[in-house]
Amino acid sequence: MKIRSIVGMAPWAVMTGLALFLFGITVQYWSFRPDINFLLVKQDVVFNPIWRTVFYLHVLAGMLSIAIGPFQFLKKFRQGRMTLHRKLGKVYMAAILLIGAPTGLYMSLYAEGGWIASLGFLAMSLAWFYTTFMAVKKVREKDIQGHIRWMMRSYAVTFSAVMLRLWVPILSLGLGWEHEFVVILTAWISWILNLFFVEFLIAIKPKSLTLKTVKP
Amino acid sequence: MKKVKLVFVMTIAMTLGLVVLTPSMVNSSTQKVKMDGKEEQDIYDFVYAEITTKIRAVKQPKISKELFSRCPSGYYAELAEEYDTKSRSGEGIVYLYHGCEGEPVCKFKVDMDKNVALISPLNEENFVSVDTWLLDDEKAQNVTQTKK
Repeated sequence: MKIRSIVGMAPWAVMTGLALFLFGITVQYWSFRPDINFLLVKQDVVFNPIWRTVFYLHVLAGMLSIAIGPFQFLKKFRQGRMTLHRKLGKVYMAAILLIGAPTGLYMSLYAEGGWIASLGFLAMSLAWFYTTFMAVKKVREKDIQGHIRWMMRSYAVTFSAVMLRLWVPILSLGLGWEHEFVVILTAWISWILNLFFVEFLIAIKPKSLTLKTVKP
Repeated sequence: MKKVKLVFVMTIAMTLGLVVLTPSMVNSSTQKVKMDGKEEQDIYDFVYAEITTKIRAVKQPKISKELFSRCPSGYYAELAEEYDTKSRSGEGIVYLYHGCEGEPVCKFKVDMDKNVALISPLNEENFVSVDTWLLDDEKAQNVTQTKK
C-alpha cells in the first residue's frame, strides 16, 4: 500500500521538484543586477525602466504561481486546510490574472526569435489568462470538477516556464539544433504540449483525477 | 477588494522604484551585422554546418544547472561587423553557451565563394581547418592531462 502511494506520488513529486528548482533559480533576479541569466541577452532593453519593471512583475507572478500550484492539487492538503487552499488560490489567481498574463503580453513583444516567437508567447499569455479565468469562474459557479479541470489547464500553462527550460537545452545542446530555430519552436511547444498532455489526463480520467468534491 | 488593489498598486510602485534606483552596471548593447536577411541566413547556415556542428560532434559541453535556461546552450557562431558583402567573406567568434552565458571558444573565418571555413585560437591568427584545430586541441588537452 505504501509503495503504491509512493509510486502514485512520483509524478507530482517530479513536477513539484522542477517547479521549486525553477523558483530557486529565479530568486537570483531579485539582486536587481542587469547582467545575470536571461537579462544578459536582453541588454538592448534592460535599461528601459518600463520593460524592466514589467519583467520583475512577470518574474514575481511566475514565482508565486509556479510554487503555489502543485500544493493546490494535493487532495489531503485541500481537505485538511480548505481556508489555506482558498487563500493560496486567490494569490495564484491574482498573480496570473492581474500581473503574470498582462505582463506576459507586453514581454512577448520583446521576445527573442522574431514575430513567430512573439506570437507564441502572446498566445501563451492569452491561454494563461483564459484558463485561469475559467478556473475562477467555475469555482464561483460551485462547479468543483470544472474548477479542477481548468486549474489543471492553467497550471499546464504556468508549468511551461519549466518545460521551456527543459526543451531548450534538449533541442539546442542534445540535438544540436540551430539556436534561432530552437527559440522559435520552444515559444510554442513549451505550453501547447503541456495542454495536450493535460487534456489527455482529463480524457483518460485516472482515479487520481476523479477528485472528491469538497464544499466550496 | 480594496486590499487587493492596494497590494497591486504597491507592488508595481515598489518594483518601478527599485528598477529606477538600481545603478546601471552594463552598458553594452548587441550590435548586428548589416546585411540582408537571406545573405545573413546563408552565412549562418554555412558556419553552422562547417564549424559549430563539427566542433559539437567532438567537444560536448558538461551538464550543469546553467543549462536549465530559456537561452539555447551549445556552440554558437557570431559574425563580426566587418563582413565584406562583396567578397562574401568575414570573421567572427564561436561561443560556447551554458544557458544565457557564453564564453568565446575560437575565432572563425569564412569565404562563401571559395566555400572555406577556418578557425583559429582566440589570441592568435593561425587559421586552420576545423578538423586540424580539433586535432591540435585534443593533443594539447592530452599534454595537460599527462602533466597533471
